[in-house]
Order: sequence, then C-alpha cells, then structure tokens
Amino acid sequence: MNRNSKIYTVLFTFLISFVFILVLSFFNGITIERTEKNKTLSTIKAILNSMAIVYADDDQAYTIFSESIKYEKKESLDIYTFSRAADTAVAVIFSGSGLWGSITGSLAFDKDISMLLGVDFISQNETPGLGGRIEEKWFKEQFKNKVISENPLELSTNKTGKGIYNSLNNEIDAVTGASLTSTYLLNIINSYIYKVKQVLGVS
Amino acid sequence: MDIKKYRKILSENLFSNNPVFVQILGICSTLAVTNNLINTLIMASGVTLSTAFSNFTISAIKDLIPRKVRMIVQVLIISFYVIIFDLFLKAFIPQVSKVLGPYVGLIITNCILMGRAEAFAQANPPLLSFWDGISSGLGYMYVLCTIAFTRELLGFGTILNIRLMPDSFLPWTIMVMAPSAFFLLGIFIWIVKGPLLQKGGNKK
Amino acid sequence: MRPDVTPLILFIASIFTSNILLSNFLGMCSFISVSKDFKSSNGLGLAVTLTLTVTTALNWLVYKYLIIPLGLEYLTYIVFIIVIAAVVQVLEMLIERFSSNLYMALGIFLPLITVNCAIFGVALFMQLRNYDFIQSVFFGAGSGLGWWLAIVTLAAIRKKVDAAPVPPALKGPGITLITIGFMAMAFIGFSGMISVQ
Repeated sequence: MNRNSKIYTVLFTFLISFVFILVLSFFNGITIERTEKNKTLSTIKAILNSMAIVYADDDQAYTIFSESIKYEKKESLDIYTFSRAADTAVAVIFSGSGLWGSITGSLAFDKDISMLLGVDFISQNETPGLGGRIEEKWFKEQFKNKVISENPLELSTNKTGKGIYNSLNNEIDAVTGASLTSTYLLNIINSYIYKVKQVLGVS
Repeated sequence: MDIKKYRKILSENLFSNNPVFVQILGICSTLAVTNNLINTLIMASGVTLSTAFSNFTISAIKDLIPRKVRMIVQVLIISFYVIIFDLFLKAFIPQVSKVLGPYVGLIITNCILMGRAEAFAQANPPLLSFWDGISSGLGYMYVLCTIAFTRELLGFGTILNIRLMPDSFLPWTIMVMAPSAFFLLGIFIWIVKGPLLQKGGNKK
Repeated sequence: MRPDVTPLILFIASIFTSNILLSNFLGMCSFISVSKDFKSSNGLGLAVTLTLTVTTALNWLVYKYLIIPLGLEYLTYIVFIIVIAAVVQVLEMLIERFSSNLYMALGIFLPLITVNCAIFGVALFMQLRNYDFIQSVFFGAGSGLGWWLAIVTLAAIRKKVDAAPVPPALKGPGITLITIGFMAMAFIGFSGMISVQ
C-alpha cells in the first residue's frame, strides 16, 4: 500500500494512536496507586508537621496518622484531631486564593484554640523563589506556638526578612519581595482562625 | 558500528552544534528550572531520555510514516515518552514533580526534541539516532547545570540543597528571579562563542 | 478550588507582572528567531494572541467535559496538543483566506506555533491552577498580548542593538539574551501595579 495514500494515512494514525494509548494506560495503571498514595501522604505529613509531631519516616507518619488522628467534617471545615496520652491538638485544612492560584495547607491549634501550633503547606502556585518561599522553614516557624489574640495576624512593619519569633504578638514577617503572597496567606489564615473559633465553640 | 561516527556526533552535540548555545533550542526550560541544581538534573535527564527514545522510535518507523502526518506523529511519539517520564516522577519522586510542575509536560514542546527528530532521526538509523538523542541531551545538561550551579549558589547559598555559603552571605535574590537566567545564558554564549568562532566554525 | 483572582486582574497581570515570556520563559525559541524582523514579529504576535485565546478556552472545555468525566488525566498533554494543532491549522487557513500578505510574511512560523511552548504552557498553567472558563479566556488573551508586547519591544530594541558595535562573540543570540534579561528586569518593576484585591 502506498504510504502516502489517504487510506493508509488514516489507518496508520489510528493504529499508532491506539498502540500508544494502550501502552500509556498500562503505565498509568501501574503507577496510579502509588501516585494517589503520595498525595495522601503529603496531606498527612502536612497535618503532622503543622502539629509539630515528629515522625522518623513515611511509614511511621502513616501509623501515627491512622492510630492517633480522627477526622470529622464540621460546617465545611476538615478537622483532624490528634490525641495520644495527654497530648491533644486540632488541625484544619485551609484553602484560599494566593497570588496565582490556591494556597492549601494545614493549620494546627492547641485543644483550647488559644494558640497556633504551626502551619504547613500542601500545595501552592506562587512564584518560585519569591512567594514560593512561604514553604521555607524560617517562615513557617513564625507560626509556631503563636498565641491567638483579639487582633488578627498582620504583617510586621519591622521588616527583617528573617522572621519574627515572638509568640505573644500578632506580627508575622513577610517574605522579602513577596508582600502580596504574604498578605494573601495571612488573610486566609486569619479567616480560618475566626472560623475555627466559631465552629469549635470557644469564645 | 562505526565508533568514529559516534564520537563525531558526541563532540558535535556537546560543542560545535550544541543545542542550547549554538542552535539556540530548548531555551524555555533552560531558564525556568535552573534556580535549583537538583531540579535541573532531573529535568535534563528527562529531556535526554525522551530525546533518545523518541529519536529511536521515530527513526525505526520513519519509512512507515505518511508524509502528511509526519509532524503530528512525531509530536505523538515525543508526548508518549514524556508522559511516561512524568508518570514515573509523580509516582516515585513526588516532591520534584510538584516543583517542576508543568515544565515536565513542556518537554514535549521543547524545540530540541522536535529539532533532533526532524534533523537527525528522519535520516539516520535507529541506534545512531538514539545516541544522537543522548548526546544532545548531555550537551543540554551541562549548559543547564552550569547556569543552575551559579544561580543556586548565589541565589540561595546552597548546592544540591546543602548550604555552602557562610551564614553571613547575603543571597543575590536576582539570581532566583527570571532575568538572571537570561543574563547567565547570554554570558555563557559569549564565553563559548569566542573559541568556537576562532575554530572556524561559522555558525551564526 | 478555583482561585479568587478577578479575570481583569489576571488579564493585566499576565501581560505585565507575570509575562509569559519574561517571567515564565515560555515561547522563547520563536521569540529569539523572529524578533530579528519587526513586521513578522508583529504578525506573529497577533497570530499567537489569537491562538492563545482560542486554544485556552477550548482546552478548558475539553478538560472539563471530556478528560475529567472519562478519567483520562494521563492523556491531558496529548489531547491539549492535538487541540492546539487543530486550531493552528484552522487559523492558518483563515489567515491565508483573509490576508495573504500576512500569510506570506509568517511563512513557516505559523505551523510552528503548534509547538510553541507558550501555547501549551498556558494551557497547562490553566489546568494546574484550576481557573474557571472566564478566567481561562482572560488568562489566554492576556498571555498572548504579553507575548506580543514582548516580541515587538525586543524587535524594536534589536534594530538599534544590531547597529551598535557589539563584540563578535556576543553578536546575535548572546546580546539578544542579555537584552531580554534587562527587559525582564524592567517588567519586574510592574509588580507594584496590581492593587490588593
């Protein structure tokens, strides 16, 4: 058959597409379980990290999560409660608009909702190297053990770019050069703090 | 197996006909991922493997492809290997997949792959085409790694995420942002062009 | 979850502060080669803008109503490219019909738009960031305009640069890249433009 004839062209295109899609769906089939597991694992890790719970490896993270953490959905909030021995902590999954897309993560509180235990991120689409730096350790550490007061968290005017680690004030140092992302993130966190205080019934 | 041919292809793809600084191909991803060395290495491996395998496949079936659909069939074959690479990343190295994000998919439109398919695979035997793919990928890799090394060291103070610069080092934020990639690549071309031009290689 | 960015802000942002070329490095190959000539840069910019607007919108529809319901996420890349190839083909026919001058000027670059990383990249970003339909259209149009703006500006600058005494090793791609670097820096200055939502 002439390889440039119309019939051949159509047949060829169909055949090659068919073969490729077949092989691709095979590869998709053998990797999809693992990929899903990775997604769940990153959520689990974010929750554990925000609560400042230590785990040695992925397996231990799973174990801790399945044994000590309970999930419930209250008024559109995804709430994860951790209890082991005398320790209790609560985390919610937050999601809101950053500069370019959604910022999603886990925000953890102590059981009285009087203090933030920490924050960790699940996904964000901010500018790499700028807004994306909210995932860096120094930035996240600012939220550790931050006392929740009447005043919402706000960006500090004392900009050192190195982080403010005062658990008693309501100031957070923004990422240098990423004031928009930092502002949007604080808006999201503040709105969730408010929601959590309402839903979990603490005045 | 003509070893000389293989060596010639390698030296051309690494220097005199380097895809990045001579043919000026594959620039998009060159600049986007180079603010971190690990991401760059993974990206470059993806490009190398995809180019090699798609070259091989295209060369193997080149006599069967109808003229009219040549380009689209090539894109199909390239996408096939890139998707497999992407699936592999998502399953086994999810952190990197998250950071590289859409840029892995963009390997499909990376001009190097299409360029080598048209320029080499269409006219050469499969094994040689595979080798051309590998060597083009390597030519691409070392240019990117040089730029990434500079950008990560000066922009973050780390190499391969290991802190190398002293704590007092103030990172050059511009190295993390877009313009530095352009500057560094331009300077790289400047440095390399000199000896290239002298060698009598009259590539514009 | 779709982000809360208003389409207008997205539109302006994709032209200036997150320019598809100068911040996201997409669409470089034809950018560097075509910017040698001002007229073809203009024509190509127009073609890219049209293609981007149409393909982003189409790809959104295809993704939402075809790929997701059928669970074919792993084929997203191939489907997007096929949509883009089809749109470019139609666009080529339209341009040939309505403006043969432009058709002549663009020559080989028209079919090459199909593999222009910018078009594919914008579609991928749109899918990644979960934009809704209106946002996607504005994002596509804005990115196209941003690309057009960048290539026309570069073509104009190159005219002057080519007349200047550039050292031989720097001539051509070397100085062009450095010029683009300065343009990218200049565009960063726009980032104060977006007012807080």
